[in-house]
Amino acid sequence: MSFWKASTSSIDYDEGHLTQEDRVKFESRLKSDLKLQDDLKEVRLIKQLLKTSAPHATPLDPEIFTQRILSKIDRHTPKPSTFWETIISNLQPILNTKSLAWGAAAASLTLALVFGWQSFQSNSKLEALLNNELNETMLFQVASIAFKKSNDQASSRLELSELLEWTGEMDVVNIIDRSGKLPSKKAYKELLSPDTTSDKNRD
Amino acid sequence: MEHDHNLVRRHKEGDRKATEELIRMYQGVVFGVIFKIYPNKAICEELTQDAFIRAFDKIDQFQERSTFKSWLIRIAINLTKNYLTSYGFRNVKPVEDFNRVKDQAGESHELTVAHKKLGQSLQALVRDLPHKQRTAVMLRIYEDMSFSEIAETMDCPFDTAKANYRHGIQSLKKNLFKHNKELAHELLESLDIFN
Repeated sequence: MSFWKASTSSIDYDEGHLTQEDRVKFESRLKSDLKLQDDLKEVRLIKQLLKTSAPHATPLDPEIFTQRILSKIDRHTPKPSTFWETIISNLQPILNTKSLAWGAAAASLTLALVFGWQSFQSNSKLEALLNNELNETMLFQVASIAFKKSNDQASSRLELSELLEWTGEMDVVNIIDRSGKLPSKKAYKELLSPDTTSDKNRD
Repeated sequence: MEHDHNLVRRHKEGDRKATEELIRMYQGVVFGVIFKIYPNKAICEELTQDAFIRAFDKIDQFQERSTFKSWLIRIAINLTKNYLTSYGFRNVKPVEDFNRVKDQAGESHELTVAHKKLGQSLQALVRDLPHKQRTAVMLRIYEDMSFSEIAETMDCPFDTAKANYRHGIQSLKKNLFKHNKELAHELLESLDIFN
């Protein structure tokens, strides 16, 4: 009742003391208060109905569901075990979806990372690159460094060769050795498809 | 909120236990929100999983200005909205039975026929509300969120969240009473506003 009393307490209920003007005010106030009361009641009904009629599903088993999400996350985020796998896994989406120019840049990035491994090793940029934060500008910047390095530092090839031998990816060494500069379109394709190059080697 | 952010920081550092705890803590609420929008259990499970995967995938974008919960729910709502507007959705209908009326604790209630009928009409009206109004009403009624939390979750100003809620409730009220006048008044008679 407190709401109702508060809203009408300023009005004298004894009609004998009311002027015509007061009576009009009183009736108008009463009407508006009654309307507000009805409105509040209706809103309350809506809220109650919403709660009691909410669609309800049997809760999921939290443990099973947690494990299911975790395994999906694991599948969604490959965890590279070697330096080389890290590079490939980061480049693969680009190689699969972008044009040849992107493929060239991506392959160059691979070279840059390998040739410039030591200089990149202590660089936080490397970490960023390997965490899927590749963007076009960075890629081409690194690519241009890669070209310079691959032309200027013949001695780096030994390190590259050692590194790739360790990771079992000799095909890339072969591509670089054959071309001496940028690999051909065909060589790029081979670079982009590790499975194909492996089959070729087995033949 | 501090515990929430601490878990997120540990998750970013690769702590799997923190990831598990975040999933355990919020899977229920995410599933619940999606289910209220689209009551199809199988699809809601998929969308809940997708919401977590998307959140963890974009975790670097989480700035800790809001709670992880509201950020996650925002992702879930957006995913559901995208799903509902996708081409594939047009031929799919919710499959849950609305006759199974239960309260928030999952307890069954003996409801009057009028109550059940109005509840069903109301749920249909909720589904027809504009997306923002429906979201605001759901977060307020089912998740007991404050308007600040709703604004955070919906990524909109406080007043907009409040207006969306108010317009949503008014629209539900207007349409429910328009189509079910007698039943609604029958129920109103038994409702004590001062309790």
